[in-house]
Amino acid sequence: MKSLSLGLLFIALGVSRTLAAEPPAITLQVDTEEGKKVLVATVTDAGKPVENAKVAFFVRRTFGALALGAEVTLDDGTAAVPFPVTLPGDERGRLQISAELANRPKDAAPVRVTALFDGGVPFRAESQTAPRALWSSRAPFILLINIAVLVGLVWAAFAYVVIQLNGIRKERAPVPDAATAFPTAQPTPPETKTSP
Amino acid sequence: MPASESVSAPSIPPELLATLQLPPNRLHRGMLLVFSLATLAGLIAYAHQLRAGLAATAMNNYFSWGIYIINFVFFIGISMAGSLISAVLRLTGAPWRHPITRLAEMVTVVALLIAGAMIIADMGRPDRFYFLFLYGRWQSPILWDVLSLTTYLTGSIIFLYASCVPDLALLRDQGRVFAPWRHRLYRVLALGWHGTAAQRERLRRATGTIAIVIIPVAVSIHTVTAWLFGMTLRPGWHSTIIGPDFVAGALYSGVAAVITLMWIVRHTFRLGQHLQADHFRRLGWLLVVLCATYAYFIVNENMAPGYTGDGSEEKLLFSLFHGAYAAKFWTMIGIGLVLPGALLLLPLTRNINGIAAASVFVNIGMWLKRYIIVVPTQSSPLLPVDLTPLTLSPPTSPALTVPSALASVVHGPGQTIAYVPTITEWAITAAAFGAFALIYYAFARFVPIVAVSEGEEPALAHHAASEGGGK
Repeated sequence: MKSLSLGLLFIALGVSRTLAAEPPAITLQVDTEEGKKVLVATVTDAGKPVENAKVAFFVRRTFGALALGAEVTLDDGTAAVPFPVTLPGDERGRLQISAELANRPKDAAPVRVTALFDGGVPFRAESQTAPRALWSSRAPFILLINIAVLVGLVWAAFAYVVIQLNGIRKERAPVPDAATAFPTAQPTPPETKTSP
Repeated sequence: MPASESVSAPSIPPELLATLQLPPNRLHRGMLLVFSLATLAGLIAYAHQLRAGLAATAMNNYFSWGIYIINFVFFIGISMAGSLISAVLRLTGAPWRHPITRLAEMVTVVALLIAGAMIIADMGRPDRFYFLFLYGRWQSPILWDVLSLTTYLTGSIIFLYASCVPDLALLRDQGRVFAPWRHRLYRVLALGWHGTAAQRERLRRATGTIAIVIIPVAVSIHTVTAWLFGMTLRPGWHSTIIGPDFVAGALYSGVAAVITLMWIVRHTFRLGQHLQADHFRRLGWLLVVLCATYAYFIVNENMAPGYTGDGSEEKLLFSLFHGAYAAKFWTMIGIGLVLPGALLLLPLTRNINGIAAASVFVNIGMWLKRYIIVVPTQSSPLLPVDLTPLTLSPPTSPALTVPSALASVVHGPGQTIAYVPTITEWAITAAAFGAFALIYYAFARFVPIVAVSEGEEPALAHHAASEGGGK
């Protein structure tokens, strides 16, 4: 019974230590080494540098994250990769860079830092409208002209026919009297014989 | 105009007047009941489809087109011959055309109305038709098709109406033999026609112009319908001859439809003295020529892809000749080409009933041909599909495995790409044919199904001259 109580105490202490343990921290900055810009990630655990930790660097692209490289931290907890100066950024040339601690346990929360840095190629969005093409939202002129001419000619002919039909109404003869309009409806007058 | 110079209007032959006046007899009432029930069933099915969406049909992500498009192409096909026959016969001055032209023009107008309805049924939501005009892309063959269909429908209505004007005037002048509303309608539609020289000249210009214009428009509607298929990169559809192929098929089925309608009108309205054996024989010979022409196109459309043996084309041809669609394909060849050809060529069957029977076979065969065009291609997708046969239980239970005969059209677990129309689709199809018959019957009861005025031009001229209206 005593040994069981002691065991439970050790387990409780272990759990509390585990719950209280802070994950490693990672910071990211841009530095210059030998005249070249580099991305420097610093990994610390409880304020102390972590050595031999693998850090992966990414840059945000339109459809995902592009890997820039991965390095192992030195004794001062830093890992560095060249800054991607040739990559296009936003309109000011800013790049969204992430550094993440690799080889983390499967169920552990990721240790990652993300920051915006100047230094990429500024992206100049060209105010170019979509070309006229079969695939674009604007039809080619030649197609529109063909459709307009063909359909226009046919409908012009229809209009001509309708005008002619309307002309029939205008060319009507004088309105016939009732006897002519309804020949079958009028009572036939009794035939009268006249003597010569 | 002195009253003494007036003469009574030219008379309409009593047998034609009877088609407009007499109440429906027992045969007519029976036909009307059947067609009304078919139409009603289709309307109920369409209401169900509106509520449930296109899930009420057998269409799916492989079969974006089904029986509605088959019906659409079929009705567009029979619409082509109506105006075309009438226009060509009118322009060539064929003297035997008179009893046929009105009947053929009506086929065009009614068939186009039904074809348009089929497009709306296929869209699922009818408001999409409205959106087509609002947001349609000029590059899309679907917009071209809607544009050519509305143009052809408009032209065909004008063509039919223009040729009806003198007859409407005759009906107007029949006096009170019709109900007042009907007489008023005849009076409005007759445009004050009295057959004066100036009016005849106007009508000659109108009918002459529309008869010329309607021919290329009729060709264009079926060519553009063919492009709906041909502009895709699908086996069996993407072909340079698909336009003329569809036009030939449309003429073939259209002439057959006109002959079929001629036979029905001849018997239901007892118009044997107008629709004579000679008319059937002449159109029968035209049908023979079109039968040979269409057979030539069928050889062409299968010869080149069969010879080159391109993967997807070869697979499609195999399914047509030996596979899942072989029964329908060979039935189409048999009753759509061989049997009608024999009936039309053999002296024994080259009579009214034989020619009419051949036309009915052509119509059935050409509906099957539209099925052959629409369905098998969609069951031969270009993108690879999992060819694992569909199993309804673990593979160890062979009793519930899909039979091997079906395996060729079943691709992927839980996913069948065979197309079997649902009851909803069949009901709407029945309604299409029922509505065609009802609208056609209504037309035939409103204006003489056989044009009177064309056959009595001298009488009309005399009528006008005697009225002193000539200019």
